[in-house]
Amino acid sequence: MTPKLRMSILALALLAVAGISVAALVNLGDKVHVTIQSEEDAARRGPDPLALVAADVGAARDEVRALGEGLADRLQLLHDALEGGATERERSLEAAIAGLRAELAALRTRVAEDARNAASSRAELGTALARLAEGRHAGAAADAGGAEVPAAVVPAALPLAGTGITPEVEAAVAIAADPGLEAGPEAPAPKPATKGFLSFKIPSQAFAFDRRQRYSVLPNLSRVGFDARSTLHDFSGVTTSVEGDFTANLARPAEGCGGFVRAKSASLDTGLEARDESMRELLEPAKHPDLRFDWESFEASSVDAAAQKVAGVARGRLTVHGVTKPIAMTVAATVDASKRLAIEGQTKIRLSDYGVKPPSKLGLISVEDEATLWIALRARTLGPADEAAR
Amino acid sequence: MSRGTLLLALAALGAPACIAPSVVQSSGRAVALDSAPLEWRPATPDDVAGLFESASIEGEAAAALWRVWYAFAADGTYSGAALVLGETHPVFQTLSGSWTLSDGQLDLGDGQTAPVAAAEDHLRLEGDGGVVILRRCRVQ
Repeated sequence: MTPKLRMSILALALLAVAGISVAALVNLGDKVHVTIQSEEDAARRGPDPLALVAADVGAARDEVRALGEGLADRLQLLHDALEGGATERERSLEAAIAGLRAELAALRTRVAEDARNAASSRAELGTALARLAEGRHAGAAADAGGAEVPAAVVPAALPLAGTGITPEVEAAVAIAADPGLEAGPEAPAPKPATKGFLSFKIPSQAFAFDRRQRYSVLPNLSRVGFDARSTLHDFSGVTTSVEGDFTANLARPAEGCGGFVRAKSASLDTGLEARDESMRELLEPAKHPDLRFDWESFEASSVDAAAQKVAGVARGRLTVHGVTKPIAMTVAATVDASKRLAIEGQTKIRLSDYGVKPPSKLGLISVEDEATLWIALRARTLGPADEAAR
Repeated sequence: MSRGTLLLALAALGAPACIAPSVVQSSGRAVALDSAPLEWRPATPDDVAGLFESASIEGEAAAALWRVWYAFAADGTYSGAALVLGETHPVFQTLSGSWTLSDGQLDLGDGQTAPVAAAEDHLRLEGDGGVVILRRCRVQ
């Protein structure tokens, strides 16, 4: 190709490009507007619609959230109300069941009484008929020349026609005469309920060895004391000013037991007024009025549920003269005839551990540092322990 | 050592012979419950009439029945009160009615009879759940 021809083609191409650019500018010129706007213009024209829409959407979202939270509160209230209603219904049902149980127990008592009366009536009727039969038998035997007939077969062997005894009575007599029939179709008499006692209504099973129960120490039937040794002679200090409460399942004493026993230190009596005065000077009851044992755990060495006895080691904290120390006390407990829990226990303590200086007179009469602390308590059950409090 | 101290020491040495030991035996630590034995005999209406309080309650009933009082009037009426363990604490129960005594059985009007025996100022009532010893008391 010659240079001249190349120049011509290039010129034509440039012309074509220029023409296309002009045509495009003409076509798009009325469709594209570029505006440079000042802030005053924007303020004059008002807020951006898109921003307004976004704000509205945000507000709506907040309202929905608030509505949701309000709805959750209402649902919680509704839930609580339903729960409360269920609890109330449960209580009502329990009360109704307790009432039904009481009625059932009373009914059993009446049924047992009726059964006893019926048995008594049958026995009386049997005796009367046996006497009647004996009379008839004696007459028949006399007629037969004195031959004896076994008494047991008389009611069945002799016709009772003409005696005025109805078939029903005859059947009853047959039952009375046959021990096997006596216990036959009739249901066994229910065990007498302990609900009624000397006309009072008392709860049955108030005491249960294998149940976690609350106990209260009986002050008038309980004692706490110590045994001390001295160069003069040995002596004990005793008080009945005792109180306490505890919780325990005697069959499983390690489970959820605990409580306290407290005695008034000023009330300790050694039987000798001068010695009591010395003891009070040492124990300072005005400042430290209580001797206290806080029971925290129990390690059973033996549990005899049948004999209602338990023994082991009670652990806790002993406070004497305002000083608290951990101790372990050997304890044995049983149930007495009046269904009270009788507890006896003892442990060794050192007076000096509790800031009590063993008394000494003239260096000749002195009390040993070690003493035996003992308890002899009786406690009465206050009923089942609240399981929720465990 | 002064003369006074010596005398005190000698007195102290001689004192053990004068002061008896006062150790509570381990078998005697618990409060004694035994009282004087009572001679029981069949009760008469005169034994029953009067105001009584429980001296002891034994048996299953004792777990819930803490104290009992009866006031038996000579005209055949009576009133009773009992401190009974409720659900959480003891509560009083009261009752009243008519009493009769026949063949050693005390009928408190509820269709159940209780064997009753008497001793000096005491009654012993037996129920299905235990035995109650009542002690005659006076209004204060």
